[in-house]
Order: sequence, then C-alpha cells, then structure tokens
Amino acid sequence: MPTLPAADPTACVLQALMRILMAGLLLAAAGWGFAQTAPPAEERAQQLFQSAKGKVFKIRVVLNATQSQASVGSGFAVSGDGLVVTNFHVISSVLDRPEQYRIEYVAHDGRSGPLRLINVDVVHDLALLRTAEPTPFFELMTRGMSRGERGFSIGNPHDLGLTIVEGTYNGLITESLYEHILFTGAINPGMSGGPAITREGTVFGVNVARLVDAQLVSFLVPARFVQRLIEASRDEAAEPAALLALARDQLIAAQDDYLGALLAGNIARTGLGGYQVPDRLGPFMRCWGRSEDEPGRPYRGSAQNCSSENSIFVFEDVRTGSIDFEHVLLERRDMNWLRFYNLLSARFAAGATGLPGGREDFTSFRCMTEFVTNRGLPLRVVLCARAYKRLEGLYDFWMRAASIDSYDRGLLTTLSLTGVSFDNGTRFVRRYLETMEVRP
Amino acid sequence: MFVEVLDRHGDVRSRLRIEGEEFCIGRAYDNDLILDDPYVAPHHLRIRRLPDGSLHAQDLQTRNGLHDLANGRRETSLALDENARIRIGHTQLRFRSREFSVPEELPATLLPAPARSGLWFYIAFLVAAGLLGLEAHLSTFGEMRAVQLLTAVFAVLLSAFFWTGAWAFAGRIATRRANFHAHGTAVMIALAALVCAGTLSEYIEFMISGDLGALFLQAAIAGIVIGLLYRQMRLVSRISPRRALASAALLVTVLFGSGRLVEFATEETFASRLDYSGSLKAPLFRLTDGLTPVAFTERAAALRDELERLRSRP
Repeated sequence: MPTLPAADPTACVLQALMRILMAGLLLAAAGWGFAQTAPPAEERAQQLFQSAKGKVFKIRVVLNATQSQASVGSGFAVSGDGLVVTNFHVISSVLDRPEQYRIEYVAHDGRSGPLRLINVDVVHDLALLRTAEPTPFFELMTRGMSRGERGFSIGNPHDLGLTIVEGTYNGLITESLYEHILFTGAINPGMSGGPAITREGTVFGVNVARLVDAQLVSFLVPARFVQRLIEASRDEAAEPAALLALARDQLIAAQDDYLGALLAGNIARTGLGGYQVPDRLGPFMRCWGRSEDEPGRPYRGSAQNCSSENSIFVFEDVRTGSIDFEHVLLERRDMNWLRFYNLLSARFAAGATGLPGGREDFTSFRCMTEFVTNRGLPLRVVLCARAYKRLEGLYDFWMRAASIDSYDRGLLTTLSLTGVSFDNGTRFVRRYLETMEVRP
Repeated sequence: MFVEVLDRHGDVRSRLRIEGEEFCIGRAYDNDLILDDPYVAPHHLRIRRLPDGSLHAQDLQTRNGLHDLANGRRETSLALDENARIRIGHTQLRFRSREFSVPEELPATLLPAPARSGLWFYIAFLVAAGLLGLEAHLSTFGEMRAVQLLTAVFAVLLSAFFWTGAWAFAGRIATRRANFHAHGTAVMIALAALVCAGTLSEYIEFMISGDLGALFLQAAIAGIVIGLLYRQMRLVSRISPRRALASAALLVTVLFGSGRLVEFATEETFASRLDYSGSLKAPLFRLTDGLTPVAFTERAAALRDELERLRSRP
C-alpha cells in the first residue's frame, strides 16, 4: 500500500505490509470501534443498507477437519444467477490447501450454501465465485467519481454482522505498483471483499485493506478490475490447481509489466558521499534517509532506503512483487583502516537472515560472491536467489554490494526484489550495478 | 641379591641388599625389611639362602599370602630366581642379583628437557593474550573501553586455564608430574594459532575464494587441535609418539565426522538464511580485477540451474 506514517521513516516494506492488516484474516488482532454517522447521511445510509443487505454475504473458509471457520470475509453478488466477488486473500487458503478447506457463504437472513471458485485476479486481489441460487445483485459503476464524493462500504467487521460505513472517495492512488482507491472510512478486518457503493447503490470498489496505526486510511480495488475479471471468466468452476497456475501467469505478467517499464528507461541515480547510487525508481517508491551518527562512535554513517511498500498477497506467508533497496555510507573517523574495514566486513556479512517464507513455497537461497568493477569503481557483490516452488518461474533476489575503492569510506547497498522472473531479476541487478560509480 | 619395593607404576621405591642366611619381611620392627602396607602381616615372609647360594621365600602362614606375579598364583614357598616378582599384601617386590644386566644408556636428547621455569609459558601467554586483545580491538566498532577489551580476552583465557588445569591434574595423577607450564604453553600456542587461522581464512576468502577460505579454516582447526592433543597426551602418559598422534587424529576425526554427519543429515533441508561469503577487506587485498556487471549477471545463470535442481527435488 502506498502510504506510510511519516512518524516511522525507517520502516522497510515488510514492516509496512505487516501493518496493513489484511482484513478478515487476523480477526483476533484488532479492537472495537464505533463509527458515528452524520445526520444528513443517515437516511441515505439506511435506504442503501436495506437494498444492499440481500446482495452482500459473509464468506467463510471452512476447515474440513473440524467444520469450523478458518477465516471470514465479505463478498457481494454481481449477477442474478449467483456470481459473487470477494478478495483473493479471503479465499487463498483454498488454493494453498484445496484438500483441507472449502468455501461457504452466509446470507443476511442466515441462509448458507457452498461457493465454487470460478476465477481469480491475484494481482488485484480479487476472486470470482458462484452460488447455486439466484440472488439480487449490484450493478458496477460506470461513471467517473470525483474526489470528496461520499461512498459507503459494506461488510462483516470482526464477524459481528453486516455493517455499513460511510466514507469519502479520495481518488486513485497512481503512485503505486498496484492501483488502489484511497477511501477515508473505517474498514475493519472481516470487511475484506465487501463492496463500496455510491449513493445510487452501484459498486465503485472492493474493500481490500487498511493502514494499521492510521486513522481511517483504507484501500479499495477499483470496480473496473471486477468488470475485467467477470469479462475474462468462463462461467464454470475451476480446479484450485488450475487457478494457482493462472495466478502464477498473472504474477509473471505483472512483473514483466512494471520491470519492463523500469528497464526500458534509465535508472534514476543520486549522489551519496561521492558515490553515484540508484535513486527512487518512480513515484511508486517511498524513500527515507537517516543518520547513524552517535557521539563517541569512531565513524560516521548515513543511510537512505527506498521501498515500493507494496506487495501482492498470494498466501498467508507468501507476499511478492515488492522492490526495495538501501544505501549505507560509512566514513572513517577515529579508527585505523584495518578496524574500519572490519566494520565494513561485519556490516557486509550482517543481515543474512534472509526473507520470510517457508519450505513449502520456497527453495533455500543460493548465493555467489564476486568482484565487480563498474566504471572504475571496484565492488564486492553478493547475489542470492531462491525459487518459488509452487509458482514456477518466479524468484526472489537479494543483492548486496560494497565499494572497495577507499580506505576512508565505504558504501554498502542492498537490493531485494521479490517475485520476478530470473531474466528480469538479473537484468535489473545488472542495471542497478551499472548506475554505481565514483563521482565527486 | 637385592630386593626392590615397587610402586604402582613399576618404579622402584626403595632397594635393599639381602645379606646373611635369613632375611625377614613384614610390618613389625624386628624384620630386616619393614613395609608400612596394612595388608602385609607383621611377620609375612622369610627368605633363606640355600647351600647352593640361591634364595627361597617362605610364607609365614599369613592371611593374604604370597603371590608369584609370574603366574599370578598364591604359593606357600617360592624359589626367587633372577628378576622374580612377587606380591605380598598390596606391595610388589622384585629380586635382582648383581649380575642382572641392564640395557645401554639412552642418548641424552630423548630425556625430558629440564623444566625451564615456565619462561616459554609466559611468552606464549603474552602472545596469545596480545592476539586476542588485538582481535577484540579490531572487531569492536563502538566507543572502545578497556573493560570491554579485558572481558573479551579474559573469558577466553579463563577457559584456556581450566583446560590446562584439567590436563595438568590428569598428568599429576597418571605420571606424578603436573607439567602445568608445558601444558599451558601448548594451549597458549594453540590459542594464538586459532586466532591467526581465523583471520587468515577471512583474507583467503576475500583474496582467493570463499570455498578455499572455509576449507583452510577447517584444515587449520583440525591441525591445531591434533597438535595440541598430541602434545598433551604425550605429557600426561608414556604413550608412544605414533600412538599419541593416531589417537589425536582419531579423536579429531570423530569430532569433525560427527559434525559432518549432523550436517549431512540436515543437508538440503530448507534454510531461509542467506549463506554467502561475507568477508570484506581493504583495497590492498583485492588481487583480481572485477567482472563487468554484464559478466557478473551472466555468471548468475549457474544459480538458476542450481535453484531449478532444488525446486524439482521432492
């Protein structure tokens, strides 16, 4: 997600993502809160709720072994014959372990029934399902919206029952790898996959996430992606394995898209203590600087990190499609160069804790360390990569480079690139290294 | 003829010439040879000289008797031949005549060196402490405080002292010589060598290759430990050099082997950790020219093959 609280500029992408609680999956973690609706909108909201409640469902993922619900989200009907839309992350455990879970809906009047998966859009976090019964349904909005317009988000927060929340449409976030609507309203866990509707009762977005530690900063998937998903679907149930293969193709296409665009242009660069290093790659990245100076330390340090702060939810512990890097510049002050290089060495070797993810989804990392020289700047470079086991053709890359041109200063830069094809990954690493040089 | 009282190790504790026709041995003070062994009777053994000049021992009907160590049997009387060994109570006795032939003297070089008052130990101690201190100094990057340095060095030296003490104690029991200084010198030299090997392996890792650095470190540690064990085993026992070397090597092989075995058993199981050669040294130590970024990323194709192999494994 695109924004990060300014209070914590050092947070890396993963920390930022952890704070964007994926609604519906972490019910226990959140507290209580009651929204107060302004009086003029009250009547409107009541009418909307009355007409919408038959079209919105609770979506339950049920663990077969215990017949109990493993996660809860929301969904809504988009056709009279029972097509239902929800978030991919609400039902992803079914793709993860098809033999262990099944999906059910519960209507506002307590009726329930099975849901079958039709199609997914993992990049935009959408899933299309089907009930066996006809049902009233929402129209998707076709007109444009203007910033400041009222909207109503409907869902099942914390499994407490159907709720309607009023909020404000605040435009598309284009400064992001993956497009979202910024919605200022109280979306809570459990409302994921529920619709956000206009005053006329047409759907303009799908509840997807909120920023934790922030006030009412919520995100919606624009309705046009729902439209696209419906148009791209054939109306028949699909096997989870086939949908996983489809999700993999979508991820490959998405990274080809954004990395293709990045690699087509020049990598932006900036100066850092006499070195040229990659800079913010585009508006989708947030960058922060920090100083490592402390009284009594025999060296000076400063750092800059840039993060896409954005990733795609595949499974509970598999998030992909992020890109971030950090530059650290260390300058020798009151220490001899032997000791200074030991400091650089310790920093070069540190942080080898890797990336999150389990053996089911990833191979171990494999690394290589070499000397690289770019435009006269000698570097020591480590490149590590691991493959996704279930998403063939996707890899995570981790690279660290250290300058070895001076006895008085050292530059350490670390790049991590998740969910990319091997060729795109190495191509990006190459371009990244090619930006680095000494230039006073 | 001489009677010799032996200790547990077979060394002679005291020696007495047997004179006269009759020679008595026992705990009482009217004997010719008085033994303080509580398992020896007050009047235990009478030795008579026969007309042909040979000696004959007679057990004086004691509780614990007379044992011929040549065959381990209890006897009531026994002819004492040249080099005869008997046991009465807990005491071993050996009989030798003046005609007993002793082997040639050994060359003086094989004799244990006279104790050199621990000078070498103190030198080795200072070298090891100095190297440990230097290592701690070079790898601490905050504000340097003397107390930090001391604690870093002190912990290692303290364990080295315990190790030395344990060996010296073992030696004291086994050979009656603690040889604390000799053990200490060996331990300090090994410690200094370990510190050097660690640093050297980092430089090899940087200058030549990560694999070679790791290999060197393992070989160096094995060599140092074998050397130390060899020296210490020689100091605490009469083990022959070949056997000492073989046992040290065997011990180290078992230790390394079990480590390898654990590694093998857990190999290729999943690790989310990054395992790379992370040694970084000053520009002076860079021996090879760097690759271009293009050549570097081309070389990464090997990673892809390896990952593909990992991925396809069940």
